Amino acid sequence: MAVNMSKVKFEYIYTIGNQAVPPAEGFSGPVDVAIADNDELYVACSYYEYPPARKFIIKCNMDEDYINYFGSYGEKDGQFMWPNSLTVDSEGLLYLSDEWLDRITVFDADGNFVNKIGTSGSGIGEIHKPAGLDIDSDGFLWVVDSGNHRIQKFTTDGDSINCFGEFGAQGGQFNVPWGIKIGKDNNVYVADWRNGRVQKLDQEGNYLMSVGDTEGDGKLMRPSGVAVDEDGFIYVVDWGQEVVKVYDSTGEYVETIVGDCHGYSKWAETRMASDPEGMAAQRAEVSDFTIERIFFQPTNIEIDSEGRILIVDCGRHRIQVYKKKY
Amino acid sequence: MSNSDIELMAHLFRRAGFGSNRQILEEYCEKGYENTVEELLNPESQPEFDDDLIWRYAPYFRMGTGAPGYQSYWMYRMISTKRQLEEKLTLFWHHVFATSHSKLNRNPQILKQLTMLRENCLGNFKDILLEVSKDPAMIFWLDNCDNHKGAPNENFGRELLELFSMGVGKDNEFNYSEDDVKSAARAFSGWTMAPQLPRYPYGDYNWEFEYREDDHDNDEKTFLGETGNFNGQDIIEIIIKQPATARFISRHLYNFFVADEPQVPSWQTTPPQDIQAIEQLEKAYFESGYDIRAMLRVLFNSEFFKNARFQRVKCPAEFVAGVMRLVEDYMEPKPNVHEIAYAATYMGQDLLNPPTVEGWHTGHEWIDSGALVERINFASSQVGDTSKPGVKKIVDRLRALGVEASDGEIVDNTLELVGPLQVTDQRKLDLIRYLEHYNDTYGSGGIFEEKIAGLLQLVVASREYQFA
Repeated sequence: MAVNMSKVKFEYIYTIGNQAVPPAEGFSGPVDVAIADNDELYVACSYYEYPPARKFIIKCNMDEDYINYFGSYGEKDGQFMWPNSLTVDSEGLLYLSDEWLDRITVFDADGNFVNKIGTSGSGIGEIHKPAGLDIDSDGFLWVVDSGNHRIQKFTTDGDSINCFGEFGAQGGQFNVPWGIKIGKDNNVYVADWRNGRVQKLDQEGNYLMSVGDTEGDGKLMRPSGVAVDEDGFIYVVDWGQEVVKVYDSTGEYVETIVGDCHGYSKWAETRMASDPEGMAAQRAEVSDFTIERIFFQPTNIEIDSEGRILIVDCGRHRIQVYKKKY
Repeated sequence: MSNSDIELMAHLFRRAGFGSNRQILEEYCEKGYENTVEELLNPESQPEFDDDLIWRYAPYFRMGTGAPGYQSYWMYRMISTKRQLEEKLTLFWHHVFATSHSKLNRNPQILKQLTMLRENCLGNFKDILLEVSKDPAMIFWLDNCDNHKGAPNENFGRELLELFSMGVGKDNEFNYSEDDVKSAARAFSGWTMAPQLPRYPYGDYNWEFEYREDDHDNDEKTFLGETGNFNGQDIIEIIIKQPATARFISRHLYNFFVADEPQVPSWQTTPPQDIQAIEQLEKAYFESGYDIRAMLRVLFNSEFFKNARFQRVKCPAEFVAGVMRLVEDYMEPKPNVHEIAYAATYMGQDLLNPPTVEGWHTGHEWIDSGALVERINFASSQVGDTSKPGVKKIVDRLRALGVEASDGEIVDNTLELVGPLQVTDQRKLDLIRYLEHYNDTYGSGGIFEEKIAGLLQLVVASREYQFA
């Protein structure tokens, strides 16, 4: 479909979130979201480590109904320490990467521990600081092996299928990469974090192109998350500049989204109602709400089957939802 | 290079930093002492701290979190930064401009103050005082947000004079009067911060400095003998040129970097222990136009500094960071750094939560029976772990002495590698006795690593190791 770039707009729809510790409704430092069937969401939270540690997975839905939470901080099966990324397979199983424990934990839809994948190391099939995850249309699990500066492809049982990349700044090389997305074109998009770019590669790891300039509006500093929509638009969360940059399928810069949260999420409304005088009184003295609207430490991005764009706004304990409009 | 070169370099890094291992000390000896001082005084010559990496793995270090989060972040910096003097000076200024997170209830604010202190740490003292006066954490901590035109709150104005710049007095004289305090307070009326959003529902926000002209007392004031319609900046301009200010900041630098001085409240009546040293620093203060870097250049290159070895009790933060640098743990991001940061708290220094605006009493007041036990337990648990890279290096270097090495040689070399650390003859005999006892007990079946770990534990438990 031919797209008239000048008419493309990215419209803020609403926000899911509120700073809270489960079972209260909200998130604590969300770092990634995975979209499951029936508009259900899994949100990995990586807040502080000191006791009582705030690390868990929140299950809710797009209507901001809180369902449950599971997981905790630690090294045992089903626990995690530095959670980074989530993805869901066609069976409804949830995969969570852990950059400290060098493993991917598999949970069922109720949060029960199912399996763990990964052995620490740098050999083929071994992983070091696994970050971004995605599952392709054939059901293979793609893992950003960030500590080894490479990408690995596994079966969902953890058998190694393919591995490519090494440390460096050339095409096909990486520097502590973070997010990953397998596009509908079956190509692999990697947020090459410390190289300040997103790389597009084919499934064998052949370099196709880079997205992100070193200067100007299209500049990327520390890209952490990447998504690709049905028109081939490439969305990059730039953790370093705290914005989302949008590029067309050829890598041409289109627009920057800085965050637009206004009004309250459903959970936030509940929170405000708990202390109407205190919070409202403080808010009444403030004239400029820009700081509340914009992203703070955004980490990741997902697009659902309806084209809704979910941006994980980690430092503000929320997800801002956008829609592309023509 | 000679042993005396290594000893001097180790001394410099204990004071201007948090200590370094033998290999790094040897590398700096090759560069020479004065070149090393210049490198320390120009932190930009070293790589920037990898904030991006630690914030990726521990995003909460940047967010609204409790004091343990900020303490952890700062302790990690002290342990792993390559810009040692920059971080040590940040600690120094935190001692001087002691501000407590516990009152702020505005989580990231104390981190913002810390960043401000770090960015200005080697700058002009006038600029430092101005930035501190505009710092929202300080404004809230000392109630300057309640200092209004026609209704002055003297808290900040008083502490600016008493604890941040001049001190109550020197040479048995008072440095300022109560009227000067009142004038300073009036001059800083209207220096406040803009209202900010509440923490909930979307997390903490920092305050920003705001000057309110309509709340500023613009009437005439007399301050330290000068009269005018002074604003806060004018007050700092007057403070900065006072001999008392030169004396005050010189004594602080001497106390932190050279040798333990009496506590600040006694400085009016207790003269400096080395008045010639203080006078050198005062001279550098005025000749450089109040430049901290210039003062430290004089200090680190002076004979009084070079000769002042092991004359300061390490404060808990530098003790903990120094031990971790010795064992080379937490040099890269790793979970649970709060357990390390807590150690300083248990030893009596709750970073970013000083007991009062006067900060911590230093020197021998750091040591009581409880704090000493905490120090010994912490340090011995770290050096007793032979899996730690720094401990392993020490073991390997000692093993390389060969099986013929006497117990005395092993002790001497261990003290070299830990410091070099100067101990009494009796202490050395005690350490040799430990080795003899170990050998008698385990004979050839003993484990070398275990023996050395035990020796290291005794070394860090010694009185001498408590000193920098």
